[in-house]
Amino acid sequence: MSERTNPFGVPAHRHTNPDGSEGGWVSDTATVLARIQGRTRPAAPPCRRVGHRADGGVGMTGTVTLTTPQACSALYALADEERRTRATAERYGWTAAHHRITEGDAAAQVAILRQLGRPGRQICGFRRIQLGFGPLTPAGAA
Amino acid sequence: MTGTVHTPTFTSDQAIATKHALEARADALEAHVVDLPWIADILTSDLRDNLGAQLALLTAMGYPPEDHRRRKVAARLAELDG
Repeated sequence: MSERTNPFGVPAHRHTNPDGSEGGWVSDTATVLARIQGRTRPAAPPCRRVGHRADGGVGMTGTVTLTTPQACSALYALADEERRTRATAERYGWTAAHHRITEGDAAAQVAILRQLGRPGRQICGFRRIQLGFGPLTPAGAA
Repeated sequence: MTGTVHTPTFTSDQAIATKHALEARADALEAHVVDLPWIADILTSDLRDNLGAQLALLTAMGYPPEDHRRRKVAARLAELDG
């Protein structure tokens, strides 16, 4: 059943989770393809990202080791994902899921930057640029 | 910048966020490789790094080697390296 009052402005309905509870938004043209450890993930954007950050991983084993190029690729992907989620949220209204995803993406970027050995100030500068603010100017600079 | 980055502070949530972001970007890169053949080398290199990071994450997240996602990523990576 379609509900027009969804945050995306496209015909969509609420997905029903396997336990019968109300799940995230799924566009009417989407089908739920995967069922991962009792959780479902719809197939089509924009709903794929919103409210469905559940994953089939059985728990981290402690560490992830990435080469520097891999870490850079992950950084770029996270920045892109954050930008897209932010744009969608700003267009259709922020939801708890949007906040959670943008915060998660940002936290992961900061974690990677720290592991790359970037100092805090540089990380702040990087984040400012990503969010569309200018680079930090040293105190007292003209 | 060279070397290996160790990320012991990567939480499960961060790993999930990163994995999702990498998957989305890998899809975009695969499409770009077809659309933009004149920079296919650069895109393929980026895709290789992306898939390498995905595989590392999947492994650390506990996906078994026989898991279809892990096998798919490993197969594509082998294809690119081959």
